[in-house]
Amino acid sequence: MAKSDPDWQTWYDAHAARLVLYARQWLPERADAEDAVQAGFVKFWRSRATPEAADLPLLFTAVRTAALDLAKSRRRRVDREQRVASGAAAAWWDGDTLADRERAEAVARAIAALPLEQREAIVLRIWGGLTFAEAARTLGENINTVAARYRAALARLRHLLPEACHDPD
Amino acid sequence: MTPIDVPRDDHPDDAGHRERAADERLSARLAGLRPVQPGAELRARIAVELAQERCEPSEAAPRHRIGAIGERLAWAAGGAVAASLAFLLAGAVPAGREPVAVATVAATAPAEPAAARLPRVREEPVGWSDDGIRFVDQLTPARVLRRKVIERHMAGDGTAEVRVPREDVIFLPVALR
Repeated sequence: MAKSDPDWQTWYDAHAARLVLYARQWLPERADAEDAVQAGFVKFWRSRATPEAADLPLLFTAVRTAALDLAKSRRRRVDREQRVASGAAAAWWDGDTLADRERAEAVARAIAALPLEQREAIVLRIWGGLTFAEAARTLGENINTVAARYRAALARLRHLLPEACHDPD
Repeated sequence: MTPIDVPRDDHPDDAGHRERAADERLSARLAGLRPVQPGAELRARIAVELAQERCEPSEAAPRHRIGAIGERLAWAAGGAVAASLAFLLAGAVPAGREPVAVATVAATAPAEPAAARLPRVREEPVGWSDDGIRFVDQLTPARVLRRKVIERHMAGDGTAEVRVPREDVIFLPVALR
């Protein structure tokens, strides 16, 4: 494989945080999500001789598969953790100020209340930075299905989130 | 965050417009949240795993193969020299003297007890063969040489002769470096 370190490091720097956030949809514990990202990232990197931007959905798919595998093997623990997910979810996003952290906490609680498929759609679209076509490719779904899930997720979040979270600063 | 590329209706009404505008504001707000950066050790773990992978695969394989072939040739050459020396030493033994005893294991059945009672025994060398390096008891490397001879058992009065083929298997301990 003719790949140099800077190649994978560039991909890592660009996508690691969003991949960890995506993996946390199944593995709320950060360490577990990082394990899934490691497994998925390495598997993806081995399978692509020279990855291109168009391969990004495959990277998310690899992490998704790794996260699902890990979640199966740790199901008992995950069940326990999901019961306290709302408390642990505050760490899903960074916040510079107390207000930011409180907002992140509120968003985390609201997102945790969404059905998994809606959560996936919104995480891939907003924080994963994928287009609907890329998100559909990641999930192996129709693009209209993913767009509908995304719209439904936003509609639900508008009701779940306080008004202060709705408008950009 | 770019505007949402949700497929649009052909005939949007005001409520639909308002809803989409609210969705766009909310998505822009959400996009402002930065996912927590993973720990530094994750990058290190991936680096280690990818580095291990680079040591194993196809690029390195030809060098390994070339090295292995060279090593085998060296061992074969060494073995040939050892076998030649052993053969020369065996040939240099003066006639009438018994060969120097070497640690040997007989691969064939020992000569018949009756033959052992015959008073005179002569050996007629047939040939040597080199079976290469083998591991004795899984741990000790040794070069395996086979020496084939014909034992000629002469009756004391010279009226009878019995010929018995014999094969000596010689294990020469070697050191791997």
